Amino acid sequence: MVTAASGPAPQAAFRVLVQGVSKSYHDRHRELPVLRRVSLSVRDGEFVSIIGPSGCGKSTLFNIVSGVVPADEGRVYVNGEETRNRVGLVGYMPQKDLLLPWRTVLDNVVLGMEVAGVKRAAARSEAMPLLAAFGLAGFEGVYPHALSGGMRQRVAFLRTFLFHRDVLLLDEPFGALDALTRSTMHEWLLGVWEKLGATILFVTHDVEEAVLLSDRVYVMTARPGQIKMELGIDLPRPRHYDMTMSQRFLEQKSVLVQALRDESIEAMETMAAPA
Amino acid sequence: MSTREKSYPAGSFSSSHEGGRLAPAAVAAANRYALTLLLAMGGMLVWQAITYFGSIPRWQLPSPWEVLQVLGSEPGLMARHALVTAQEALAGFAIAVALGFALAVAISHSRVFERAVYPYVVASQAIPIIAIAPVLVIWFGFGLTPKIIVIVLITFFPVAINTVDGLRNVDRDMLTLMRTMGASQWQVFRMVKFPSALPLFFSGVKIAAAVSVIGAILGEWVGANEGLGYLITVSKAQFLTARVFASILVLSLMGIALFFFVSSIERWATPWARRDAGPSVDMETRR
Ligand SMILES: Nc1ncnc2c1ncn2[C@@H]1O[C@H](COP(=O)(O)OP(=O)(O)OP(=O)(O)O)[C@@H](O)[C@H]1O
Ligand SMILES: [Mg+2]
Repeated sequence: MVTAASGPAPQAAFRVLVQGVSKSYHDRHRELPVLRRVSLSVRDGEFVSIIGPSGCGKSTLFNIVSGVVPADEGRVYVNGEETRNRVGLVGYMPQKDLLLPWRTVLDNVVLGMEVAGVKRAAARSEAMPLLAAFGLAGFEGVYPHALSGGMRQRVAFLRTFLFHRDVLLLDEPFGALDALTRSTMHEWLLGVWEKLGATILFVTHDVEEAVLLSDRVYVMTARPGQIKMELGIDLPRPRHYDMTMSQRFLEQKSVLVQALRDESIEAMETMAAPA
Repeated sequence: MSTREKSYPAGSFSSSHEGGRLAPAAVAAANRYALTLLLAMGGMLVWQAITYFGSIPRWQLPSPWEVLQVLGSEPGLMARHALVTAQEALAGFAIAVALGFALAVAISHSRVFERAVYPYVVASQAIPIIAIAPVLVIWFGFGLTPKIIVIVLITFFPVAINTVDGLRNVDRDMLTLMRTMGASQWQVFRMVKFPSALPLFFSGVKIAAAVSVIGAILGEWVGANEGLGYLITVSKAQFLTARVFASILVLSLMGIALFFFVSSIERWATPWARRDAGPSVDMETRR
């Protein structure tokens, strides 16, 4: 868009391109730098994960990419364009499930479709069959307060999925799930991703999850978050759980674990001694 | 997954969800009103005893039996005046709810409007109604209008204030979520702000319902030729104290009826707020 005259711009090759993004929060007394010159990219159809210590700015980065929080500096391109108002371009699953208490499971799931203008009846009939796949069959009429944490997360995930965007930002989507349900969701997510060719940017605390799912993994430093490391995962696709025992998997996992451990120690230290 | 999930039957869930709760709820309600009625009967017995054994003249304190007899002997009279008062109360209440809600929406959506109008909304409650009611009668006569104005003045306030609070207390993260989806202002209001404010809105409306009957009486007190307030004034002058009490009884029944009418609408409109099924799992699992 910006450089349309001079042939294909470099950002056109990416679904999501973040260049030199910084962000600070302020309160009355001090400035809290959260992100420092973060750059990353996600190609079309790629599955990219971000891991980093708690509080390093991962959710903030997602808020910036989705367009609800402005960056202090830097550029964000979504679908090759730098749009000032880019809300609604990506499907965003926030870390908190944020189910609307006054909507039943079914009506929460179709929220994004309704916002996009789909008639409620049509949206519902599209969503109904998927509830079963998410272990939510029979719960369509239940209000969120009667759901377990894991169920709430699956409802939020389904809501994001049904928003039908090519780019999905998933902020710890499976954090509240038990190992078994989580592995089911992994398989389902990989299946959908392969079938639809979606582009996924994924935040997780779980290194194994990152290696199993991703094409590439970014490791962030403790706050202020910077990109500390980028690791291409060279395991073959399609991925299976059996791979988690393979030599290559364990090697890549340990590289990430080591990088993360250094940062987490630092993160605890900076928390103990506030600036 | 957990046993919590298994405890719900599959299938047409919403109906079984309701059905499972209805019967115990009805029993609980019956229990509660049984107590209320019991208390009323006990009070009446004491009252009857006082008037029977005591030496209070009947024009000062009639017995409950005499009060009930008024209702039986002059049903036409009571009904006619009650109908007038009910009309005033309902009309005033309806206008107050609409006005209170509209004001709240405007106040919570426009800084300018808030600065300009909110202080007057609060100031309106400092108006001595007793003092301006006669003026209203001078302006509008003995008809419906001055009563409605009095009722609206008293009852729009709890609706407006509660609704403003409700609209402000909406979860900011939910608003952000709606923004990530590119929702319009109207969609945000319809899908998040409005339902989020409903419980507090209904708190205000319930207060308004209970108070609107008083407003009607106040309006009639100053200038009227019909209505229960008028009947009370006239009967008091003739020392027909039993009739005064009978009118008060009818008034309270009207207030109760309006209140429960609002309560049942509230239950219908906010089904998610019915959490009598036990403690919410939010406490343990919400992140
Ligand atoms: N709206 C805000 N106002 C002020 N400070 C904020 C705001 N949002 C986030 N922060 C601060 O920014 C920092 C990064 O927060 P963020 O939620 O992005 O971290 P995170 O990497 O997602 O952490 P976690 O892994 O625990 O979810 C935190 O220290 C947080 O306190
Ligand atoms: Mg986070």
